[in-house]
Amino acid sequence: MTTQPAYTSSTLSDVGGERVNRSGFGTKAVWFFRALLLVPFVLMAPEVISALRGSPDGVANISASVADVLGTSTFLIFILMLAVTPVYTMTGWRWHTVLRRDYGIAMFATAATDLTLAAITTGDTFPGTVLTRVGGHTFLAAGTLSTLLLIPLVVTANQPAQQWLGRHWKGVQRLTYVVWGTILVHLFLLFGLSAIFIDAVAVSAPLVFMRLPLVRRWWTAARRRGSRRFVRAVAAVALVGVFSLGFVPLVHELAVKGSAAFVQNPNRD
Amino acid sequence: MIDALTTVCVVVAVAIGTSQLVKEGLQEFLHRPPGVGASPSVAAPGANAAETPPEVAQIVPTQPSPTPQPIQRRVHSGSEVKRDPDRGRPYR
Repeated sequence: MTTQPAYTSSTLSDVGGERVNRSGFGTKAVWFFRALLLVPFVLMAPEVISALRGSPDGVANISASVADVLGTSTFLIFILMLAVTPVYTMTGWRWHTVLRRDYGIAMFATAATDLTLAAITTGDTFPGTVLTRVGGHTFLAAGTLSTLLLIPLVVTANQPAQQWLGRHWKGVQRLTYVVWGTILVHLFLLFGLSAIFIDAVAVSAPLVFMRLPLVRRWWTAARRRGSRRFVRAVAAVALVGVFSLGFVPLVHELAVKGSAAFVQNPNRD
Repeated sequence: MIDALTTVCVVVAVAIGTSQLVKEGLQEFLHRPPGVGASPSVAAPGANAAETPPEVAQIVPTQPSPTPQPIQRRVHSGSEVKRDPDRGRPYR
């Protein structure tokens, strides 16, 4: 495989300092993936509007839905953002690399909305002050830390910041891996060794594997040479399979809880 | 500048967590309320009663009296016993 296979292109755009060739297909695909970022906000909108209008169940509905819908969405967006680089390593595609920044910013927007709504509405589950609702338990504190750590990442997710910080920019962006860890800790404290945490580990494992310097270098070199096709194909199927084992249940969880939130009939535990 | 911002974010999160730990205590800080995450929801009162294990007195069958007493005979030969043969042997 070459680095720019089927996407030789008509348009050029500058993304994070790299010149990216993008075809008509690439542009449409990028906008499709960008449109997906609206889904969590669309799912929560009816409950938020209902609460703003003073509906008696409005606040309780948000309290019941916010973590399931916005929390799961935040993690899915995070995982898709982390998948950008492994997809490039495996395929050599570049059309999607712009999504890394878009998904990072959208992840912060979703997590911040989640934290804000939780701080306002979850008094029924976490009685006390606002601080109790955002940090009164271990899992809440880990979630809040994850969200706050996104601030320096999102502040520096632009070209002026990249030029200003120079070589230090990459060091700041490595904070992403700290956030990855704190999110997994948050999920472990919430779910223990049950389904959702296991799903989170399953989607994370292939992404970690593809980031190992040895693996990344070997794969990139083999792809550029066009060698070891069978080994790469088998490894790709295995990695995508493990990723799917975790990703599909998480999407299903969002679909079920999100649709219940959209029709303002959340499952109150 | 960015390092300072990162430090502030970490300090704020740690401060919130620590203040809540001191205020509520370790037990409450570690506790996961019912219905949150993997913790089971609080069951409905009816369901709760059904799940409550029977008391020993309910499980152990009453010893048959060596000498039949008029009142007991009347109960066992009554219509209630015919309608529900398991009555008197709950949770078996």
